[in-house]
Amino acid sequence: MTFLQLKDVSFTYPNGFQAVQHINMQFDLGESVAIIGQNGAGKTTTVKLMNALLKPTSGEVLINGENTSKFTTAQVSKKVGYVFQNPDDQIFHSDIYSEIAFGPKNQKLSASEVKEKALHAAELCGLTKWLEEHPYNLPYAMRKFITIAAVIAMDTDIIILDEPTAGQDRHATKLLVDLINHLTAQGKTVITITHDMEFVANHFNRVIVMAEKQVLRDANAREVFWDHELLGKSHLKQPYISQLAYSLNLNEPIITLDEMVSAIKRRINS
Amino acid sequence: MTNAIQKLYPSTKMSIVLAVILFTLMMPGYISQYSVFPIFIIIAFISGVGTKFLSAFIKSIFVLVLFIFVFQCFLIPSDTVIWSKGILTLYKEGLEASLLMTSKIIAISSSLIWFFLVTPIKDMMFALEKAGFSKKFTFVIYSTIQLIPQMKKLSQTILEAQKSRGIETEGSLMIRLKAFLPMLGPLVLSSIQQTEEKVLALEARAFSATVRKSSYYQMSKKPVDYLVISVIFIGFMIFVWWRFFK
Repeated sequence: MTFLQLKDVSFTYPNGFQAVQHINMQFDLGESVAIIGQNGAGKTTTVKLMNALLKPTSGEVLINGENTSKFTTAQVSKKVGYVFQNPDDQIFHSDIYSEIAFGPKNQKLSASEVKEKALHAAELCGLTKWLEEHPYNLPYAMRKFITIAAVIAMDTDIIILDEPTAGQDRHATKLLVDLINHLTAQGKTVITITHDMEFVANHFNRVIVMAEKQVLRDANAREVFWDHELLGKSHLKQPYISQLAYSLNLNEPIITLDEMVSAIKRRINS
Repeated sequence: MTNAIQKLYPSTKMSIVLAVILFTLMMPGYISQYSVFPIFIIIAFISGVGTKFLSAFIKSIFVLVLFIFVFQCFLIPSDTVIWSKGILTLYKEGLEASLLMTSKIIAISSSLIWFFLVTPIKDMMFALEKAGFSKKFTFVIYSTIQLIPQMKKLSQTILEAQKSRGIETEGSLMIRLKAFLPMLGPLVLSSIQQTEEKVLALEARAFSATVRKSSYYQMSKKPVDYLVISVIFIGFMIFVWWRFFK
């Protein structure tokens, strides 16, 4: 059943700049979806519409059938969590535990529930051993996980991650992938805005391509990354492994390293 | 920048502001000070920034002036009561003090708002450097002026981040105050961090080098600037003579 739906949504900022036009999207629970597109395509505006930070100038955003225009962002935040690109915009407590526990406390949960959710989120994000630390004692990459944990602790059905791989090393990206897999397995929907095509190709089945304020395509990663016309229109590049496969004329829509290895092995064997 | 007033050299425009400030402080009463405001509305429209001037005045000064006016009116007691109802009593001296103070604030702020609307920051900095101020000094001024729109933008982002975590920001004054507190930490820390990054970026481009610096941007005083300064100077001297020696 569709949990989140954007129906013919357009949005114009007060200064007259139209950021998105006639957007249609729908998300079921348990999905992991990547939204990609060049800068200015309307990705961030779209996700801000999803958690009611912005209200559509036309069309409607429905969460579980209810129109977000009737609710404040704080009310919608119980269902849709949004992790901002810059963790430093969000962190304000002097220890990591309080920062993570802030969301569930705001939801007026009991002390034991707050503790349980905060500790669980901290564990998922690999923060358990630093709970007493000041958030700014941790490097930028880990501060990003503090903000992710803070949203996970709110136990929302939908979690939006804005550029989660920016500034992350291999270990952190692996942790992020495990986290997304865990959350989707729990029935949560993870929507990720990213410019990291390798990350999308390797870990997301469903990809929404945006360009010039509109949705150009909503398909699986393979279809998207082997549609050269679409990539041209949206000014996106193929993942490096797909570029290599294309350059080598392998005639296979490869998007991951494993697929490339298999293709080469097959050719050697034949 | 096509408007003749906007094209004036920054120090010429500043001399107009200084003249207004001195006039405001030296002139007794409040009528002439209040009359500075409509004059600056006209000047602002001639300068091509009329709407922005009115908007900036209403947003930044009007509420403050109104608050001071009301506060002074009712809180400075005297023997002469003009009006009274319940716990509110309007005294003559309170009203006069309000008029005197707010007229000065309105006159001075009008000139300053006009100045900042018609003078780009880079022009101001260039003029200060040309007047002999050090690059470090002008950078401090520049950073401070730039900080306001930056902090406004940053506070908007932080507010959105906090709203997304369930902080209610709409409603009563208490709710708004509660929402304000979580903003302060990230706002101050991010501002300090950004300043630090800017300083490093400047140092990486030899900001502290002791060699003589050149500038891509050039501007100089034109005959009209000297004319305006002369008129202001003569006009001000006449005013001083009229005010203190006549």
